[in-house]
Amino acid sequence: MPAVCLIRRLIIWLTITGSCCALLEAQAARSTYRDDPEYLIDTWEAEDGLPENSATAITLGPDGFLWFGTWNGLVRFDGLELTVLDPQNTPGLPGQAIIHLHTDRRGRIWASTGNGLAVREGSTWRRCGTNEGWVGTYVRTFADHPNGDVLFTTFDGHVLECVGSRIRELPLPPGEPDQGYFGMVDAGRNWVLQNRFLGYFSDGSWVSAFPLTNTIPRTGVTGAAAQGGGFWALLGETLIRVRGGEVVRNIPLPRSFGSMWSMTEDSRSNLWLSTSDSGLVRLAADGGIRQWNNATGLKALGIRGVVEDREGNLWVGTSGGGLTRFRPRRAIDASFGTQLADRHSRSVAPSAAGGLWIANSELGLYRQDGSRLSPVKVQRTQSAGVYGLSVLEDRAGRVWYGEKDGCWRGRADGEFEFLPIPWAKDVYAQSLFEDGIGQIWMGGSQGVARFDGKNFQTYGVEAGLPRSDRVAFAEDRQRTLWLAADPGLYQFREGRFTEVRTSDGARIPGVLCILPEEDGTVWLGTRTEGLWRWRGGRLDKLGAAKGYPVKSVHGILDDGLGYLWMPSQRGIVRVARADLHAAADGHLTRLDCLVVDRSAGLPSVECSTSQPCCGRDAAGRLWFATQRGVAIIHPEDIRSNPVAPQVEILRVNYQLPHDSQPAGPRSSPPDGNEITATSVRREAPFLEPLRLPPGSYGLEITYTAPSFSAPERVRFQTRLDGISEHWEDAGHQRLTRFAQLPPGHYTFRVRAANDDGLWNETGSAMAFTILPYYWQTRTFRIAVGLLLVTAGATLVFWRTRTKRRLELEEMALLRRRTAERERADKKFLLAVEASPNGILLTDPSGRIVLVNARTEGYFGYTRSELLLKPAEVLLPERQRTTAPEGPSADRGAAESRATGQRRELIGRRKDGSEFPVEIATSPLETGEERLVLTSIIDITARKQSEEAQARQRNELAHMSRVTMLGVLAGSLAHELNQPLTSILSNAQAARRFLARESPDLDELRAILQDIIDEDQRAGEIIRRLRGLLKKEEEQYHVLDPIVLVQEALRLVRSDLLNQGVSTQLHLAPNTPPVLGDRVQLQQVLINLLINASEAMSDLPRQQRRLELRSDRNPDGSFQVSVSDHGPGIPADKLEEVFAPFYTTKSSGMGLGLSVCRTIIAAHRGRLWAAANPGGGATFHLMLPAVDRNTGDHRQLES
Amino acid sequence: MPAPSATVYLVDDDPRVLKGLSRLVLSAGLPVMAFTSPEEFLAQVRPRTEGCLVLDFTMPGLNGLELQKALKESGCPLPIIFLTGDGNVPISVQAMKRGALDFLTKPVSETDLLAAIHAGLERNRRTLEELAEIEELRARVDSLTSREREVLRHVVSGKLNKQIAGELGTVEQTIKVHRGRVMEKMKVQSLAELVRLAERLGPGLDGMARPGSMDAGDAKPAH
Repeated sequence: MPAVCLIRRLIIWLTITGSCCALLEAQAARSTYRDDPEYLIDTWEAEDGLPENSATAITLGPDGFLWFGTWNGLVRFDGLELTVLDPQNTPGLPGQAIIHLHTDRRGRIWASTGNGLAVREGSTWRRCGTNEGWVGTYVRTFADHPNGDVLFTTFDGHVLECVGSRIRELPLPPGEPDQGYFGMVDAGRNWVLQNRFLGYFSDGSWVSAFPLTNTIPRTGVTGAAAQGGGFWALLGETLIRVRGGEVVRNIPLPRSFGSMWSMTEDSRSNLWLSTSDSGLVRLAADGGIRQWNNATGLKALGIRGVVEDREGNLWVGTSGGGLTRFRPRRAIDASFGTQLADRHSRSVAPSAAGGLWIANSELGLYRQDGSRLSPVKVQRTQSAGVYGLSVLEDRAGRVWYGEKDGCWRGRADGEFEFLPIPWAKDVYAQSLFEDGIGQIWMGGSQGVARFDGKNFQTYGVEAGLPRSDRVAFAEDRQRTLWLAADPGLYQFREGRFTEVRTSDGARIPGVLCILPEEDGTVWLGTRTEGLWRWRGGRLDKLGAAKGYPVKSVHGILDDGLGYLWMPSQRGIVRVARADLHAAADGHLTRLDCLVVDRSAGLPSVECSTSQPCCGRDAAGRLWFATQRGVAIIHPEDIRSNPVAPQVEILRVNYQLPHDSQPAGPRSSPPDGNEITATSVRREAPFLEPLRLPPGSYGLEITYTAPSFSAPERVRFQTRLDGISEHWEDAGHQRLTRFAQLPPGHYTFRVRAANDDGLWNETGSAMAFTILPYYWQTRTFRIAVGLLLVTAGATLVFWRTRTKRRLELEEMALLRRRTAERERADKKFLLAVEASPNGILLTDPSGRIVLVNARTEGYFGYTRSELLLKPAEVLLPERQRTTAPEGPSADRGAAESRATGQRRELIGRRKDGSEFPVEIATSPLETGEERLVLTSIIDITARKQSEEAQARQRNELAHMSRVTMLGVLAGSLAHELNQPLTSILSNAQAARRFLARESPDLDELRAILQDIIDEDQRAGEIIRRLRGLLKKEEEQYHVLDPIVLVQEALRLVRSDLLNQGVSTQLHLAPNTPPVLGDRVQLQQVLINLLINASEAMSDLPRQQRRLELRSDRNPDGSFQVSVSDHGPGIPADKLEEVFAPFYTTKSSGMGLGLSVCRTIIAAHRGRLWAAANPGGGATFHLMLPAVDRNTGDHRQLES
Repeated sequence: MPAPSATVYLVDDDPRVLKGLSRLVLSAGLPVMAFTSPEEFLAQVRPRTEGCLVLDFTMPGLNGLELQKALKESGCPLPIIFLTGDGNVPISVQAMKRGALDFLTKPVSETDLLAAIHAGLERNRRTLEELAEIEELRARVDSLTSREREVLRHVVSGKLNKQIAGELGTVEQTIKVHRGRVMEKMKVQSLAELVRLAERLGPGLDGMARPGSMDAGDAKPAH
């Protein structure tokens, strides 16, 4: 079915176009603190969309989202988008100030607000606690029982328990009254902790477990659930762990850290202390202590709590300093805080004796030992500037350091000597390599040199090498030296370089680096096509098509753990060697790559292209030289983000067709769903499949997937079951658009992958149905099919009996014969009877020979009354003559029309009433006579609906016109003033002339003529104005568009003058006539002119230039464009300006353009906005051309 | 009576309005020149053009205020009567502040228009007379030597010959001679007359030579 395929392809194309145009969700801008050695610290603040600059409490919800509280509402966060819940939009939330949040083991989220407690079950919030008779103050802590029960403590010292879903209060513990407790759970018991009391509840009373001295300050106490059961309690300067009712650990701390607010243990057994005055403290499992404050990455000293997400990030809530994320670095900036920080390092070489050599582009050679970085002095003889390019330590422990014009050789503890490159000047030694027999190879822009211990031997063009600005060396297991010199790959054999070609003779261009392996594989890193595998003369490309995420490969490093690490122009890529082979062999379609870039702590994504640009030291650490410093990666610590993001469909928007209105009142129900005249928005949850009314279009589905390490890198794929069986890549888009879908049942599916490419295969799905119009239904189509069959059958039937029928003219005989036929083929007649249309068959003289029940019903005649009557009885008298193509059908006209072509006529019932019908006629050739088959549909309902629409459009257009004229009132008054002024001064002059002794009669005649002309001019203006103000039904006439444009300009002329707007006109000759309502088209033009003028009101007067251009399009249609030089319309708003109530003005309702578009749509034209290349906006208005005489729309000429 | 060369200049971009207004002014027996654009008018006007200007406020190109400014800059003291389609108060205030003679709303009655035109012609006549007089005075001052001018300044500030001689480092007799010459060159008979003339020229007799600074806009209406 090629047509179906074509339509599908079209839909997919539209979908793709739609998603390209879709707005990217605004990324929460945030500030990043990059100076922490362990973490990248990002903070979201009020500027980034927080309702208030705090995160008073944080919890990881069962929906995968991060929930956090502020003093101004509760926020649901997917990593990018913040959704704020408050009592206004979420009636279940009692207050907007969030004190504490907790997710329990049953997946409920508890929110302690300033106005009471709320809980979220399923996806709804409800207030709780009040029904249970508890009216205590805010909840201070929550603790979980393994069975899902929850323990609460409040600020005023109460202790409550939620067992199942019942809340009950425990007796007050014996500590200091009215001072809150920390609630904990251990061994199934409820514990509370305060500076005066630490104990548990048993058999209806509180038991003190450990007597506390009174010297612990109240703010020195906090508690937290411990990993693996029991809890931690901080008592002043002592940290204890309680498990099974016993103190299993007792750790004295060196000092107190400030006023405690809360404590959390993370998955690496670090304890995080949140203080309300001294920042954040980490007590590491190994005893190390670190403290963060507002000088070391935090934005405030008051910390509310810490939560670890499943991806290993720590989320820190502050009071006044926003929400902060501590993300463990993957790459550490080794040059941070040193001279080399932010400097372009070209080359790194780990030293056998420990430490590292670094060649820096501007500062020269450095040695790093542990945390000590020291410059290495070389004795420069000439004043050539430093230009460190490469560094290498050979197996004999000598250091080679490449610069401009040569290289330096020396030892860590000794002098360096300069070995000049024996070829031309101004060359750069940017590659250094030691081969298996200890010879040093050096490569630069002019060729290659080999140092055999005494001398340099050079190889250039004469040795078979191309001129290349960069070369790289490697040696394979057979000790063959490989050289990559763009363009081409070479091997060094017997003193000469020979080019390596693929087995089919192709060159291998663009290689930047080479890594030969023991098994004979040679990995080739290229400049623009990713990684290639060379094996036995065969080249397998592992580029973007295989999912390799970057284009360039600057170096290849084996980490000894089965992975290759490849620095590039866009970060460092890690891929498993096994995956590379599998992909090269075709067993794997997509490589699973991990990219370490700036978001993972890399100082710069741009890695050096020197050789060596990376290295692995004895401890297994990997070093990389980058544009902005040297990075270290601990390969064994790197794990991919293990959490596949949960996908959620958030909302659905769609447009309603103009002829459809949603049932029920147009309003915004409180659930966030919104229905306006033309568009519908539905918010999750989607409990049952959506049903979209017939003709709905512009479907937009918005979804998200919470992911927290690098949310902006979450990727999506979508699929629409019912259209495609394949997943479509949506990139980072969180919105998919379907411009137009045929009616049917669909399921939209979306799945997501986290920043490391781990897919959540389940994803999320939503079923919906687009309801068909009645003519799109199956029943209707079957009926039409049946009708066609019937028509065919009738034809055959009549042909066989034409002769006999011609012999029998009398009515009675015909009646009998009709009856016979009815009996003979009851099924056939039933089919005709069952047709939903009226069916009528007429003979050549126009007499009716067959009707069905529907025709009887339509016209109120019985069958017998109609048979053999002229078909004109079904038409009103006036149409009998004016409609020669009526059912009576002059045959020529009927034949000239294609079968099935439809026309609208007025039908006349037996009782004389009239109704609109749509008829289709087809000639039936029976051999001896021509019959005409007429199918009739009563279109009263359709007409009424069309009229109602036209009326409504008319009303709206009129209202908008009146508003518009209000804007123009001042200048219209001025326009009227001109003739009045002229009349008055002429009349007064005449009076004065008359008072003279011998009045000049010729002059007086001229004056009177002028007065008459001017009066007519004033009258014309008033007439035009009245025309615009009048509310008349639409009247379509053939109009000259240029006259329309000129009339519109005349009405706004004064307005433009007042605004100081100069107008340039480019009116094309020979513009085609258009069909339309004069007033409405003028209204549109005036609207566009006023808008253009207003758009420039902020410009200096000289720059207020308006251009009006009219053209005849190649397809014959008429186009007029109004351009301004104002601020223009942003690309994403070009459509929005046509939405109702869209306005940028302080006055006005924003209906103008929306109404204009409706008017133009009714004229079968188009109205759209575009941005001018030089600034400003242009509104284009296209109207189809019509035939000047008939007013019929012309067919496209091509 | 206006000078015979005084003309009423009409500027309005609507030719039919221009025609009507021209007729009205002609019917009152005044010479008229009509222009359909401010630029055309500016090309015609000279600093000593006599008459008054009736100007439509709203026109393409230069608007009324801009033309008023241009006229002022060219040193032409033609009084301006503005005609406007709407009684836009802020603009009329601005125009009046800048020295417009009147601000009339269209359609304008003959009485108002002709009265304004006559007032304008009268004002223009006086302004030009005053300008001529001041030019004459300035010519007299220019004929003084710098020493005589110094003496004049001291004399009009009411100093005695003896004091002036002291300040200028000379003897009373010399001052007397200078003073006599000043009286002669300034064509005055008495000290009182000399002081009045000096007052008309304003403060700082040397700084008087500011060409074109005395225009209709800055001049106080003469009573």
